Amino acid sequence: MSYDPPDAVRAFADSHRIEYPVLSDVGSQVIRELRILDQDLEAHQAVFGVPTRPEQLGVAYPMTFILDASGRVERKLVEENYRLRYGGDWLVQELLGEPASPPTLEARATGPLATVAGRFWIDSTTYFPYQRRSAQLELSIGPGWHVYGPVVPPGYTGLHVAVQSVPEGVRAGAPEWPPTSPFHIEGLDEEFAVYEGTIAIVVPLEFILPRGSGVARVEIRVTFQTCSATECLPPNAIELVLEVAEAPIP
Amino acid sequence: MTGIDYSERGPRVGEPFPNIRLPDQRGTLVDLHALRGDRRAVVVFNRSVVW
Repeated sequence: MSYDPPDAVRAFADSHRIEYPVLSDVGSQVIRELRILDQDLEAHQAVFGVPTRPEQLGVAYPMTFILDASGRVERKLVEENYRLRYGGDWLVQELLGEPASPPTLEARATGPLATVAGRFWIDSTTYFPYQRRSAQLELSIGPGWHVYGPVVPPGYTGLHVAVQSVPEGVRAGAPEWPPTSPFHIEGLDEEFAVYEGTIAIVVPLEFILPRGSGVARVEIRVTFQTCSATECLPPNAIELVLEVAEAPIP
Repeated sequence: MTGIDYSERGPRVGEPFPNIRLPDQRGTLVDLHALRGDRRAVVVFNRSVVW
């Protein structure tokens, strides 16, 4: 649903061959009744240096409601803003609890002494300009070894994920870390939060790239420190690279 | 990015979603709950189909 007039909605649905109902809420009447009129549009657009025109006021907040069979709100998905938005495959994944498609772009790398191996993938070969896509990072930590979690006492190297791209513009949102396990070292009073075995981290990728940017080379650098019960290796890193093509205009 | 939290606005989880009656792309007046029947549904708010 949007606040556009019916002829604009018809042109859009025709050009994208959309069969499901696309609703037209002229005057944002329903959007107001639902109490979701976007009152922060100017602030959200200002983040991207985009001024807001008066006719743009009237849009709804970027929200998605999943209704159960009785018509109650089962889930409410609230996105940060309109400029950066997930695509339909993300919605399918949220609804079905499984990826819309199998991993299609994947990179692997192995750390020192093969104590840490990484796999990094996304469920698409393409991105749309200003799209958010969830990437998966899987780290396999060798038996008898652990890595420090993201939160460590000063002086230690915690697990860290950094993303850069060529051309510049792809960045990582806050990773979703799995829970850590406690780890004690005999004779030390400190408790560490660590990871062992195989862990999966969700890394939201934001493709802040204008139309025409072409292939985005996404470089993810995973910094970590591997330790056993008796020794620690120097901090190290693995780099994983995905080359993601720009999606054609639909 | 802006730190503005609007997640509490609008219908909440567990509440009945108010009925919507609006024209679709074919000009047909759509009654959300009537169309839904006893099935689940997804209601997506899009900024605009024009800009």
